[in-house]
Amino acid sequence: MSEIVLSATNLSKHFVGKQSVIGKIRGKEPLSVPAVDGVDLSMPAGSTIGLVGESGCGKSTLGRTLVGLYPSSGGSLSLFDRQIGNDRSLEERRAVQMIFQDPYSSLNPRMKVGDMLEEILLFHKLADKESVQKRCVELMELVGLPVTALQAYPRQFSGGQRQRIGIARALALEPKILIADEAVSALDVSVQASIVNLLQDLKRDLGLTMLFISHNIAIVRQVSDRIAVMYLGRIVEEGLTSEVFNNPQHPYTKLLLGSVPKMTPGSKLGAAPQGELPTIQARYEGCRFQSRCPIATSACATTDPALIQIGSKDHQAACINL
Amino acid sequence: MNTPLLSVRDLHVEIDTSRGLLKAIRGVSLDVNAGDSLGIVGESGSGKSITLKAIMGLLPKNARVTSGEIYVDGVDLATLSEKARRALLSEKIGIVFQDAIAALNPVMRVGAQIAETPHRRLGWTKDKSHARAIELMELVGIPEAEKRFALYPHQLSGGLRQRVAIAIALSGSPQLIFCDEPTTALDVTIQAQVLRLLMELRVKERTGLVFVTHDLAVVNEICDEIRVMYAGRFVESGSVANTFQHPSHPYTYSLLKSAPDVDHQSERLFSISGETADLTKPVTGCPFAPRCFAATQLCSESEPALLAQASSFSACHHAANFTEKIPADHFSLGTQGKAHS
Repeated sequence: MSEIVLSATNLSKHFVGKQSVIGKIRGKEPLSVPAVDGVDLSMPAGSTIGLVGESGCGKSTLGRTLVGLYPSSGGSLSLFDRQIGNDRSLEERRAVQMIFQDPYSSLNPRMKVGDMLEEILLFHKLADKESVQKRCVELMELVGLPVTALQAYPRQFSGGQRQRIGIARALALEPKILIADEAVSALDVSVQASIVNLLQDLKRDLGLTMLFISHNIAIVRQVSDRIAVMYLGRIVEEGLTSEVFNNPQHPYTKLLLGSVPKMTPGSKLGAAPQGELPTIQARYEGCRFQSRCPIATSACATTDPALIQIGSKDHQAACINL
Repeated sequence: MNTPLLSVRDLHVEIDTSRGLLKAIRGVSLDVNAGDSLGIVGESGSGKSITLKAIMGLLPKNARVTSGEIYVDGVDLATLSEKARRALLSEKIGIVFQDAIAALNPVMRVGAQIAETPHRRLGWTKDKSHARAIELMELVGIPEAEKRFALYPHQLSGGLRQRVAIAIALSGSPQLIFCDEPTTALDVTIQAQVLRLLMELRVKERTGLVFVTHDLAVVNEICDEIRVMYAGRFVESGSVANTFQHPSHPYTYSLLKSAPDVDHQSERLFSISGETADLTKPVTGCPFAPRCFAATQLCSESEPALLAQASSFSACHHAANFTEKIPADHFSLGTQGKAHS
């Protein structure tokens, strides 16, 4: 078993709404949305974990909480066996970096690419005035952009090239863990393929560990060693990619995988899944998936299922009817 | 021979942009019959959506059809008055857009939007149009239709909004539905529901489908015929079954290889290096040649026409033998991001 670089235990992130004065007087609790609600996840060194689920299930919130963009509301996070809290040191922040979905809005439009990278490198003292230029050039080579890109503004690039700049920005900090949040979703198929290949090369060459968040299940299968399926703030199934795809256990995973259009000739979509993702509630009675579940029993209304081991394989699912 | 429902002949569309005149569509021809399902695929900017908009007369102000003919049910649209043209189009063709929230009227109840066509255009009574709207809402699988009739678009989820948009497209009982990336913004589970609905309509009502998308897997699931578009032209045309197995254009081959498949995990994805052709500049030679693994001198000199091959149509000088040139190490193509200047 390889070393666990980042692990979350019972991690949660609740967004709490503003409380009205009247609510305060009446002692009413403010609105709370548990976007991430008790997630256990460990990331073995050098692996890519694919995180899938429908919009609104909490994928991005989980990613942002792991990076530290959102303070967590409960549970614990450990980085290389050291507990990390909500106020991270520079070094801890550097270790976990994020690649954002939208390369148009995640870059400063008024800053040349080279200036942006220099600022990051100098602030984190990863280079001094003499070596900073050399390091910028190295970064451009790493992500497959010409050196001239350093003198250009983000608007002068295409979507795929901007995403490469976003990757260079993340890599400038020499991270151990990359969180890619829908990093290729906004790109055309052909460009998407080149960014996916680049990420896989970088992961291998630099020994990175990656969390790949996407709603595109075909892409996730392509890049991931392990898959985690998320539903309403919880992870409902987790395991080796081949295991989860060939032998899905949780009824939600089955529904999700059955909905993906396939490239196989003559493929015809399976039975239409019922219902849609309900809005997140503050509290749940029993299993969160019961309203859409084809195999729900009366016990599901009262028991909140925990992740349990499936067979002897490296695979777990949270359902009491397995 | 019966007349096709929709026939487009050598359509050209130009757009005025800040970078100059852009030749967005450069000669597109197309026939669709009742019950057909045709998928048009291509990258952003290849002209897929513009083709649909040009047919429907929905081009933005800075774009215009410069030449070509469009026949709906055998009638040349150019011979009709603006009013008659609109009447004919709205009777025969319904259209569903990608972004349902932008396509719906935010200050009108969804039921009233669906009932509008039967009431206004078909001259039905209010009660009859109302009943029709409820019927359509049930047909497209909106639960509790009576209750949802009185809601506004913002009160519905994305999947339901797209269903309302489909119900509106169906409200005039069209024989053909244009779908412009109708499921791209939806989750896979909801996408599966919407695709299933469109497939059922095709079987039940013999509604023709023209489906514009960048998702090849979606085309594989619901279409019989495929047109691959590149730089404002069709570069390959054929049946889905055949094209997916034996593409006869290097671009189609590359697209198929670059799309990940949920059923298989491959070592690397094929990637197409370079950028799509800049259509504000005159096209000399094949527009795909700079990105093509099989390009020769000939390709940069003359643009190939869409010609019949063994089992499909292909616009490639090397349609018969390009497969011999697929690089053995094709997976290394473009992985270093070269040609991204």
